[in-house]
Amino acid sequence: VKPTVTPPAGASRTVLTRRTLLASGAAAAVPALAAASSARAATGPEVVTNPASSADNVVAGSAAVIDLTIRAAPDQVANLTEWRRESGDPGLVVNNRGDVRMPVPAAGKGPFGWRVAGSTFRGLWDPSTSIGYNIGNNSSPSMGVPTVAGEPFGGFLIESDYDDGQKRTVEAYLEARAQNGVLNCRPFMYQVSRFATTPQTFDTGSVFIGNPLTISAVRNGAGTPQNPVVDCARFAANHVQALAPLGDRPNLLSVNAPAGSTSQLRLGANDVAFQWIVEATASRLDLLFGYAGTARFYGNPKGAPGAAFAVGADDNQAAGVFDTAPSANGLKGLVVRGKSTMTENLVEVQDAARAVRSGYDREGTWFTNRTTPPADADIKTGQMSIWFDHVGGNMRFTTRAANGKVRTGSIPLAVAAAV
Amino acid sequence: MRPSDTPTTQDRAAAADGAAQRSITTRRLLIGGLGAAALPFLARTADARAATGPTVVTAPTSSDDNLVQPQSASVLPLSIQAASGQTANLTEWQDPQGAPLTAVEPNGDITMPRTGAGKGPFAWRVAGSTFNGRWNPTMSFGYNTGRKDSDAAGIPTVSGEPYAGFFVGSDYDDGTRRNMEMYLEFRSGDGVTNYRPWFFQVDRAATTPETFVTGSQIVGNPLTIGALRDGAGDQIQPTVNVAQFYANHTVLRAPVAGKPNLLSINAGPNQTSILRLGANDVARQWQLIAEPKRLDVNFLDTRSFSFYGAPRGAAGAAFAVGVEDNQAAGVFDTGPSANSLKGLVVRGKSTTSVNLVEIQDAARNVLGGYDRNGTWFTSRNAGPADADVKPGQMFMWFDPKTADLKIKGRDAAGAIRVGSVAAT
Repeated sequence: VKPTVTPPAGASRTVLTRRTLLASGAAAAVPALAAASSARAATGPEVVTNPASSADNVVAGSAAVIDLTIRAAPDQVANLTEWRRESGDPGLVVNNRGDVRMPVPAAGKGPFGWRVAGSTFRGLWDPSTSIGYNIGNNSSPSMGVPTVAGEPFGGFLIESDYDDGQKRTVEAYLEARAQNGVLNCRPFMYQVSRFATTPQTFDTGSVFIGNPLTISAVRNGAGTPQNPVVDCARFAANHVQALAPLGDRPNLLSVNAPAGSTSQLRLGANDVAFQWIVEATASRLDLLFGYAGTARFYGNPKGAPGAAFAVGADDNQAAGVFDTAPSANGLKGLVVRGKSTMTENLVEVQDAARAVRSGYDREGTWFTNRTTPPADADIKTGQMSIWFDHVGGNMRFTTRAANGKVRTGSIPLAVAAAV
Repeated sequence: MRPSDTPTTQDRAAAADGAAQRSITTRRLLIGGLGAAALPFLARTADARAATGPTVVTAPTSSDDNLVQPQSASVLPLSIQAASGQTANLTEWQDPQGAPLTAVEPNGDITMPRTGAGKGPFAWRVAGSTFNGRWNPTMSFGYNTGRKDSDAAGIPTVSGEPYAGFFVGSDYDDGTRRNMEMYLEFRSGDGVTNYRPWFFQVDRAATTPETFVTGSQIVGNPLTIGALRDGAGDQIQPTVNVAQFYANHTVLRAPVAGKPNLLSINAGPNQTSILRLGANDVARQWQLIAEPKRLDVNFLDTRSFSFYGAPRGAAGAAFAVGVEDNQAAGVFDTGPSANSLKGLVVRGKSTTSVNLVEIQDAARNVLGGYDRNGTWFTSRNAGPADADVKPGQMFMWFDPKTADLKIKGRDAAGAIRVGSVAAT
């Protein structure tokens, strides 16, 4: 299924033709070839240095023959092969080490290149390759030595057998080095164990770096034609931001939970990772101090839709529960504090229509607006209710004595002054 | 360009060993003296090979010896053509001992095999596979990626060795559309364990950005997000870890001491931000919604609790349960809940030493409340002004001078009534 390579136009002569033509003592006519190999038989016409046709220098041997070999001399320093531009500047080079380079035709710049090098770690040779700008120097077999000193380098690198002291690994990463030759970073880096047989033991390191790192999403009409994106999140040291690039909708951060499980938002403090935990369960949102429940929000109090909040207890018997049990003896249950200029009551007990039934006024004086007695059935043994008979002008009591009998009492109030 | 058009001198880099003594011009002059008669094969092929210059030699003594330059711009200077069933490399660049440094394999792939015994080569290959009847040309660059006797990408060159590489799939047909893909891929030495640390897929035929990118994924175990930081890490990677993504656990590290660690969820103008906390496979079981002046806690989509940063339109603080209501610092509304739900419970413990409920003034003086045993008490020693007493309302306080319980109310007729009960 792989497409067949079509010979270039003009290459009309076949390899066979050229071999036939060469049959009559070509070696003698070409001293260099004769000198080079006494074992050469039919080798075809020579490659010429000024071909007139694209077919002139088609090298084609038999299937098991390497068509062209360029071998370095001992201590070779010159490039092994160059492909030059019309100007004579090298466009593509195989240097003396066999690395491939594409020199940049500008003074002071390093070449782009593909290089194989490596280093020894803990006695193990780590063959490595790099492709990028200004990567690798002929004078060093190691990776990460700039070709041109004083120029930065940047590239994609693979180390095939890095021994980190505990395991043998393969690494792939980007690397950039500043022109000072020292400042370095790897914007992304992956390391895998060579001998892993499961996915989770395979990946032994995976890092992305930024300053900050920005996560973006493509978006019609956003950014530039080259990069039509909006920024979604930024990761800086001590600050992760979920940005809100879309102005027409809320910005969501979701922490999902699998079936039967909860989700948690852990908020650290003082180098304790889970100092505070917000945990969502199917019916309750807990605020935990460490792992101890501090406050709880109920979405289904007493098993029905509604809302309840509890401090110090897992208790949804009331819309608000304040339990001092888990706390110090000196902790009060509830404090309602006013301010000197306030105009409304400090505490109100209201009915469903938001009418005030009783409470504490803005100065902290208890009052009731109840003008009818509670039903006897609502009065429990040992309980007393106070209400105001605003028709007769009496303070009245309704109680249930220890023997279960309902008793009532009254204190007459005198008319004090006309309004 | 014909030879006659060629400049007589050219700027050429001298060979490092200084052996490049002969110039192109010199060589042309030399070949001119030999002519076609000295090169029999050239004469026989004169119909196509006119002035072709000196031949390439296998033991050049000068960097100029094997300089190949076509006579015209449309001429391919050098071609290496595979034989039928080619098995040997097309070209090799070798070290002095004859070991290949770089090779062009029979199918044109470039390899650098100088990695040591048992290791695979570094390679730049073109291969591919057929998906849903469509050929997907694929490029790989990396270690031990691909095998020259296989068209498929992702087969280790050397079995038993891991591979790692950067891949570009140019026409992957997933059954619904044609895509391009770019990714890293690692495969373990077992030849099976495999993953793609980062992966991007685009729709070949897209015309808008949002339909262009059809897949984008980065993977880790955990994935670590870092930030550059002076003095951190080591020289190669001067960074601190900012976040780590595990399965079911994302951690925001706090790498900088002396500063708080922030997780910020921004919101656009007139918009909210939402933190969704899932439970039991329901993604929005609980939601914390930041409104401009209110933080709501929703149970699913029902607003159940509200924290107010500006109650009644002014700076301050208020909290409401069961209702959106900022008339008080604390509102506990049983309206949306079961009939059996109480409004407010304050529970003490047997050893508590302070009041269960206190009503305080701004100076934190206690005005009244319920003591540690739950008994109602008042510390008020003065009654309300008459004007503050509404019809049907009654107040009680304690007169410490007379030791009387004082009572004031307004009856149904609007008259203020007062009374007292003497304490003995």
